[in-house]
Amino acid sequence: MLTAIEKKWKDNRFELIKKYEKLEKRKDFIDDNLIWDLIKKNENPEPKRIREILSKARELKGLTPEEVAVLVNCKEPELVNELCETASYIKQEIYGKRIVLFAPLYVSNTCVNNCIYCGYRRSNPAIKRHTLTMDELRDEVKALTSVGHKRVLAVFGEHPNSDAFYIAQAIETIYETKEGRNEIRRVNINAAPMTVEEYRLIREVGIGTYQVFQETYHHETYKKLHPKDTLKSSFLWRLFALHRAQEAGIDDVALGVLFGLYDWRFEVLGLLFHSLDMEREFGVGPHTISFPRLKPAVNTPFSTSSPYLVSDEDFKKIIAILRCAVPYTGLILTAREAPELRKELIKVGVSQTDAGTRIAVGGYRQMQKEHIPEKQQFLIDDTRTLDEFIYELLKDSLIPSFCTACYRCGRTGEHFMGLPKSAVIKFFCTPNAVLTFKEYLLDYASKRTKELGEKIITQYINDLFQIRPALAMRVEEYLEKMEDGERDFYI
Amino acid sequence: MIFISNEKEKERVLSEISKTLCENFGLKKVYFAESVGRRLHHIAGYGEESFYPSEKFHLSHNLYVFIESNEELKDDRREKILDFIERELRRLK
Repeated sequence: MLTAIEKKWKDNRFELIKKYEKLEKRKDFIDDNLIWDLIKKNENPEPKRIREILSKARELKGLTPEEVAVLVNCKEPELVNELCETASYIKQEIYGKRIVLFAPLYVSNTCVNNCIYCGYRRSNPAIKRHTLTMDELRDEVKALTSVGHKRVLAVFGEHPNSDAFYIAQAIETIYETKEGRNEIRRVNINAAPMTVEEYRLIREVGIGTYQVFQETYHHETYKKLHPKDTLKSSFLWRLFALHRAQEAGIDDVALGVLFGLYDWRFEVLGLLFHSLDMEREFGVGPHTISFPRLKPAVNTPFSTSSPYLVSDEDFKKIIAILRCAVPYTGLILTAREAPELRKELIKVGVSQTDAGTRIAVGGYRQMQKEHIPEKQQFLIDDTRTLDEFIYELLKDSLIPSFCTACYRCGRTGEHFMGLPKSAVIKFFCTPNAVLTFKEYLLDYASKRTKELGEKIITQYINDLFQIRPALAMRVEEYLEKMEDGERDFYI
Repeated sequence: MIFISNEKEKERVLSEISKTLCENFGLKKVYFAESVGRRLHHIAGYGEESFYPSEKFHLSHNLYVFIESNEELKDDRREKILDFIERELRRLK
């Protein structure tokens, strides 16, 4: 049951959304019939056709919806292997060895919505509700930054306690919280759809990327899972949330689907159509795409009984297809997945992932607890510490990155996407990954991580000298300054 | 501080300044950004990305310029460039 204050807030907002629906001139770009026609038309594709598409994908120009519809129907193990090899090739060509790390920061779990699949739904009595005070938020940030994090994804429930003003205040608080060298340099946000004016408010305090997931692109399923008296019931309000954010000047926006709510093949095409529509209107696609899988949540039967739960094999296929379809869009994998699987999935296309993750509200101050189920939206399968996670990445010769340079150099949105991404990553992102990783090694790493990490940095510098000596010298100069105690260098 | 309320007009003016700088001062790339919170938000620019570190200059309370050159800017050249920008921006007041 909602309190009187919650109900009043929800009703006012509901009215605002209804008004918006009447005024919105954009056309719903998700045509369920068209998507299903594409999938059905391409069932049982010829191996030759699949190989032609994979060959095109290797040109790093992306794929059309029709081509993606062919790939989602790829079932032959040999062809699936070829698909994953192609995705790995693309990942290597564009992103190289770098992988960006961040920490999700759950700021509130109070919510006026009642989504069937979500542990935080308002009718779930098993969840202990809390919205962090600014003091508690500072403590969480201190706990996070004390282990080396520089980037967070702050997550908010849809509730009067965590409205746009609260979100803006939280962003400012996170940036302001510093302890010695520990600080957060980029705050990304996952929050419910807002108005253009509200987006302007959070843009003004320096949001990094704004993320909102459609959850499912299938209209009928969306309707079934989001009860009609709730704010989340409006498909269009959510579908155009990122368009409104762009209108407000937030030029790094991020898409996502909760896989397991509906047929994954449909959802992959939904993501592609969403991405294409953003490109059409703003000349720039999403900064990242997330693809969380539905995971068990406390007192949430749907989370384990959905008929559309995605197998590990199909999940790998989803990531590989997305990598081929939108080669220049960052792909985010989460700690929902188990360590062994994450290792494999990173190879087929993931460019960002969370690490040392605790998703309970206030969870980072209670690091000794691996789970606090009654405070979590769902359960996670990877509870390794940040340092343990990094050590495993290093064993695969990957370079962890805490870089936040692009949005501090104005390399965002159209300006950034207009550059050849492989060159951007090679000459900006990877050197910056090395510089921020060096900071991690100097200030936070365990002995074994430091030893292995230093070897990887030396190797990288040697390689860079072969192709870009001037840049290598600059990076080396910065590394030396860091040894002398200076921090926060970037190219 | 630039006193141009219209965003499009601001973009146009700053693009022009960037273009003039590239053409007259032999720079590879120039772009302007404004600070919003801790973020530097790209406004407008001109030139080809060199993929070399750019030099950043704070122009006014929320305006920055990034300059990419083939070589590190010498003090007198840097001064001339910044003088030019300052003059152009003052003209707009």
